[in-house]
Amino acid sequence: MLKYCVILVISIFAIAGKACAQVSGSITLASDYSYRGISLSNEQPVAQLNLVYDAPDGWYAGAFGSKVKLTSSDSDGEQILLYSGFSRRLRSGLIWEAGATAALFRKANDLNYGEVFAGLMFDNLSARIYYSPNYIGLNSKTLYMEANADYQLQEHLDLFSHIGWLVYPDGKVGLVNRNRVDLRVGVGSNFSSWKLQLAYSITRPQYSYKTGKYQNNSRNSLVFSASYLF
Amino acid sequence: MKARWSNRLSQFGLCLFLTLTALSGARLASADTAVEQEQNTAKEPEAKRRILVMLHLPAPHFRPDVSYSGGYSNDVSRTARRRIAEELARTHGLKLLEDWPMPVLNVDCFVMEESDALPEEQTIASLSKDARVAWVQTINTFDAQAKSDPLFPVQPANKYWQLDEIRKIATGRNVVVAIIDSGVEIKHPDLAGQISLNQNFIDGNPYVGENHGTGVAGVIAARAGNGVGIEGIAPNTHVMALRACWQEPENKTRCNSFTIGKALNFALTQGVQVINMSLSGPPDRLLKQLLDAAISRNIKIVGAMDPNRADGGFPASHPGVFAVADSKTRLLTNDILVAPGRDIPTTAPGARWSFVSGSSYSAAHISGMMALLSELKPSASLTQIRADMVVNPVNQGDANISGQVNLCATLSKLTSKCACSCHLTAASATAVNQP
Repeated sequence: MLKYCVILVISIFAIAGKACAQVSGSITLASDYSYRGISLSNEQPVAQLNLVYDAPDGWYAGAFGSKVKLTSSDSDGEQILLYSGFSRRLRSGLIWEAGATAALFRKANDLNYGEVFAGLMFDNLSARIYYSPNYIGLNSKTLYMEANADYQLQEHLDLFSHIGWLVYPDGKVGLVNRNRVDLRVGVGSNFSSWKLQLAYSITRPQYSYKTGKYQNNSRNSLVFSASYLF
Repeated sequence: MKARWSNRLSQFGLCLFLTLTALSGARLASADTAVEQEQNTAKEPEAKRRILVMLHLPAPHFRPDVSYSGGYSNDVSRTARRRIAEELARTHGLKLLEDWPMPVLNVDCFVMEESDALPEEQTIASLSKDARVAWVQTINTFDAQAKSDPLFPVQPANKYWQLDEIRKIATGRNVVVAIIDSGVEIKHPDLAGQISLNQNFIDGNPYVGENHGTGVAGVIAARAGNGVGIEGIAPNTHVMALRACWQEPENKTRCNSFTIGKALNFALTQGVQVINMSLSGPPDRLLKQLLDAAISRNIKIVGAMDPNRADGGFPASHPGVFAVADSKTRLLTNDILVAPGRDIPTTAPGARWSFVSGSSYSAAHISGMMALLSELKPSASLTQIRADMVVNPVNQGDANISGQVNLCATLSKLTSKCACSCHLTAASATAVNQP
């Protein structure tokens, strides 16, 4: 799997030579890998890498990698998230996008999952809906809906917020995992090529269903991340 | 125990964040002081030997790495474009000065200063061949279209446009007019409360009220019924004062491609209905594209004709822009509008009023008219407005009537609302697009 990821990354740089195409990315050190309200790093610091290729016609593709630590130690390792999509700005300023992701866990293949998503953005607001036929190895269909907003406080300081809702549309009590609401509020700051973020995350399960393999303890947490952007 | 490292990192992050925020605040405070110091020695922006280099600006999209909601103030891919721009500057012997994202055109606009070693044409040709560059252009200079002739006694335009009657059906309510010009005196007694937003797009040159911008704003939207000064054509309109031009010695007013581009880009994101551009210069690729984006959004762009340029100058010459002159001459084609522009009383900096002349103020009259039309018939297309524009016959004795736009008849024809003596007015006028 890693081999394919390396090929993808090299391909991204190779096609970046096309007219007006751009490659951007980030290297991040975060105090916790908080993903949809759940820690995928067992509340420990992780290093992350992201690369994105943007074509001039609106297509984009990227690869994101992170260390992960799950409930069972034999599942520790790396997660690679491959993603691709299309985004376009309309005359009104509204931006729409659609795409797909594939999450691959190197030491826990049973957790691999795919998602398709669609989203809208306007000014500093965005909303997306994701559908997975088999979310993170739970043998359940899931929908994840999120809304995000940010507000510029000063030239280099912005306030951001996020709310997400994970639901199991065909789930039955006792058989599936918890519907979940996650909230995040934080401040971010850009200094030259650096981006610092400090966020407070809140997670609230809606129903007391049993948890799954990937479900680490979830609790409210303060997460700091420092990213070098390139 | 397992979360100890995470907690320590979060605490460290909190300390770092607070420190950097404090430093940022200190830097802003010192920047404010610098601005205050500069106010007395405001230098004019230098557009010579500078070029604009456009890089593609991708639409925001899903990214799993950093929290991002699509706002360009928080655009993490900007660093990548900055890096490309720095490489381009280094390779081509340029100095990178600043950038301004223009999402309306999907470009990030970088200003670079040329060295004296290479001719400008050679630098532009060389940059244009680079696959990473969308396009390159010079920074053109634009002049406000005001004359410096001695002022003559008042001849109120209100008389010819029957504003008292027009007020009964329209005042520009709920319409936003962006004025791209020099600074407007916000606290002028005839403009106080009329400016809904003012923004400065000239770096190193603080916002001040200046002659041209203040005069144009007065013609469009001076307060009515306040017992002082004049009345604007559309006194209830909301004015967005976008300072892209600056006043030079001898009362000249100048702008350039970059400052106007920033202001146009801003106006397009603010949902304005009318944009007044009482300025003129050479054709400009960046501004053409921004104007096309505005026209496609049905925004009414009004441009002042430059009598010294064969084509009337840009942006008046751009298709879709309502070009306005201050008098009817044989050289003008039928699609050029003529509106009052001589000896116009209007607002001036220092809580004063003065008389002004020039197509700048004719354009301001038409912008005021567009605000009235936007209130009465917001859905009217630009084509429909142009087709329904009515002008007075030429060769009449009074130059303030001859060949000029007939506001009353135009409003009546476009909106079917009659405010004046419509029968007589319409009968004595012709559609602007008729030969």
